[in-house]
Order: sequence, then C-alpha cells, then structure tokens
Amino acid sequence: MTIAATAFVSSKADWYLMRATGVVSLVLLTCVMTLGIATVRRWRPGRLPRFVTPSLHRSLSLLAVVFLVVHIATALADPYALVSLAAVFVPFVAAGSPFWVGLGALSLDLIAALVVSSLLRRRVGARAWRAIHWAAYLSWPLAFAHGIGLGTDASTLWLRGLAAGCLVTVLAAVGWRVRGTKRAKHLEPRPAPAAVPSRPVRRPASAQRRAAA
Amino acid sequence: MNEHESRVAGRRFVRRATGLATAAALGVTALIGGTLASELHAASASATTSPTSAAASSTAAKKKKKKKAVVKKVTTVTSSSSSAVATSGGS
Repeated sequence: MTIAATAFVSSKADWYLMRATGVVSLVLLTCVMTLGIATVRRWRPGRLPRFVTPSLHRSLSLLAVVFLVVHIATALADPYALVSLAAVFVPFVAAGSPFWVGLGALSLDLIAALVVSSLLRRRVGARAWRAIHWAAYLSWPLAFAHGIGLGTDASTLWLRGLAAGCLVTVLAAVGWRVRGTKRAKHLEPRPAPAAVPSRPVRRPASAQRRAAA
Repeated sequence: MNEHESRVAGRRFVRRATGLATAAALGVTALIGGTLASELHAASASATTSPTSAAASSTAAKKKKKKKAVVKKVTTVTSSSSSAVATSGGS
C-alpha cells in the first residue's frame, strides 16, 4: 500500500489528478448551482415529474463532493502543492499561495456547511437550512476565483474557455432566478380591502335544513 | 401516462442522468490528466533529448574525424611503403 502510494506520488500522477479533478469539480459545481436555481424556479425537463430536478441536484452535489475530496486528497499528497491539512480548512494559512488556497478553503467550508445542513435538514429546520443554502451563492464565486487564480492551467485557452462557459451559465441562471423573483412579487395577490362589505351567502334549502338538524 | 408510470420514468431519468454525469466526469478527468501528463512528458523529453542528441552528434563527428585520420595515416603509410619498395626494387 505504502509502495503503491510512493509510486503514485513519484510518478506525478497525483499532480495531474489534482488539476483534472479541480477542473471537473468546478464544472460539477456549476451544474449543481444551475440545478439548484432550476429547483427554486420549479423547472422540470419535459413532461417528467417535478421531483426530477431536486433529485438530480442532490445526486450531482454528491458527485461534486466526491471529486472535491479527491482534489483535496491529491493536493495533500502532492509534495509540490505545499498544502497542509490545516490549510485545507483554515483560510489563508497555506505555505504557498496563501490567498488563492485560502479562497478554496473558504469555499470548501461553505460547501461542507451546505452538505451537513442538507443531511440534517429535518433537525436543523427549513428556515435555517434555507439561510445556510444562501451560502452557495458565495461558495461558487470563491471556488471559481480559486481555480482561476491558483490553477496552473489558468493561462491556457481551454481552461479560459471552460471558465467562461461556467461563468456565463451561472450568471444566466442567477438572472433567471432574479427575474422570476421579481415577477413573483409583481404577481403576488394584494390584500383585499377590509372595508368592503361582503354579501351574505345564500345557502340552498337542503343545506339550511342540515345545519338546523 | 398515470402518476405511477410518471414517477417510474422520473426515477429512471434521474438514474440515467446521474450515471451519464459520473461517466462524463470520470472521462473528462482522465482526458485532462492524460493530456497534461503527455504535454509535460513531451516537454521534458525534448528538453532531455536535445543535449543528448547534441552529445551524440558530437561523438559521431569525433568518431568520423578519428576514422578520417586513421584512413589518412593508413594511406600515407601505404604510399610511403610502396615508394620504399619501389626505390629498393630500383636499386
């Protein structure tokens, strides 16, 4: 086991795996964010039932967490990354590039809070869960900045294109949500004026007899 | 489609979409990792082969020079010996 781990590290496979899983995690987090907004908007694919969107949101969230765990594990294993276990969770304490690694740590902390609160949703309560879920809107930009600022491939064309695609997707989804919220507020029923006298409801004779009995 | 069928179709869709996303994520990870590894490998290979090839070419040139020198020596030796033979034969 130790020999395999040493061979894995010495072959630099962990370095490539760390970079690849980082990119895939960003794409998955973008999908999760978009599906979360689609859940709020009650969107569904085609004629399928409404539970499909939240179920997909949940499944892809777990997949993103798995990729994130691999990303962090490979960062810890890689001797060149200079990331300690404390730097993974505590922001801005890393030995190398503390700012960009710190943004990743902050994003991870928020994601951890989201996952734990979702797993304990019944115990936490709907209001607290929703309040914590708002952190997703902060977590994604932090992860994005971490990837762009620290990423070894940030200067490459393919990563820039991918990052631009993710950014456009999230911005479009957020815009869709904001527009939906505004429309919902506009369509909200206004409270009826209290001074309007209501006409007495005339019941049919059979109903009157039943009430008397 | 009744409610039960719709639920079953929804669950199947979620399962398929999740499986597809997992396969795509693994595939993209392998693709990116493989591309990065091959790029770095190619870069390091070109960096290491250029001095080696230069050394090899210089060695080959040296060998060629040596060979040329040996051939020259041999020809001079043979020509001198043949001339010596001619002078001795002549006397």
